[in-house]
Amino acid sequence: MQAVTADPRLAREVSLPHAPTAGAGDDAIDQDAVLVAAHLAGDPLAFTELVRRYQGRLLAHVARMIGDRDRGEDLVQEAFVRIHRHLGRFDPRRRFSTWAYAIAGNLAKNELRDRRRSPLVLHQTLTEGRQDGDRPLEFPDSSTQPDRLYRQRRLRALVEETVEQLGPAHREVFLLRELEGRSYEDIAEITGCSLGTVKSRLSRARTRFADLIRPHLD
Amino acid sequence: MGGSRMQCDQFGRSFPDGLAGPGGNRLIAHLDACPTCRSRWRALRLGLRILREDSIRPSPGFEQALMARLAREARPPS
Repeated sequence: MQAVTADPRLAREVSLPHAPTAGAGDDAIDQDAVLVAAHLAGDPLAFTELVRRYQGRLLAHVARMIGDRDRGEDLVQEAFVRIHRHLGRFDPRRRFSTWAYAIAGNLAKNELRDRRRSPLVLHQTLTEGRQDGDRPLEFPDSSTQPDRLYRQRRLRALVEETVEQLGPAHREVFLLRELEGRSYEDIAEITGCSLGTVKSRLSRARTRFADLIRPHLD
Repeated sequence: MGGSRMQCDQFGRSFPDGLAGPGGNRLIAHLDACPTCRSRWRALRLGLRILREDSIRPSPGFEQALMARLAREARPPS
């Protein structure tokens, strides 16, 4: 094997800021299981709490999958209705979050399939119709730096558009891993693919995402 | 470029998840030597950072509308 010496500065630089894993940790899984059991035992607030825990994450995932926030809300509502309807048959050995992502993801994939069959249907994209109030307020000095603010917004729009340019199957794996912090095993279960397919799709999606966004970042 | 096409492909398949494994140093060495992979990796990092900052939240009436729909579903048909 070739002997190599890694540059420690570079090694520090490449350590990834991993995606948040909220909802995927053991504590979160235990809380989900408790809430599912409470709901099935008749607790009227337990399902509301499950909705509060997952509505934002499922919406972010579905909206980016289909490139449409408003339609994403409709689909996530439908996902919760299905979850509510079938929770009594949920296998408690499975993770609730994995099951919820699979239901929402299937609805998103069906939506994309329907669009391909009806190409004249107009869809509002993620970047259109976005209100200023939807933006997180992480640039407090923006009023005195209009150029910087403009550049930040333009970059965000470009990044969202870049995600939309990934094929649906690659986009799903990319979002689940890079934004949701799901494990490969979870992603395989959610998407119904083998572990090898998940890894291969993720690698291709990362490369394509980077190649598409790179010219705009230089 | 420090690596052949094959090496870049291997790098793409193994990075960044392989960093913590036994081949981690080789991956970093390739990154150090290959401007294409280095530029691609920096673009990925920055793109992901921007994507993660851009939160998508449900509209204010989302939960209320959902609960109303669930209540309608639970009601027996008249």
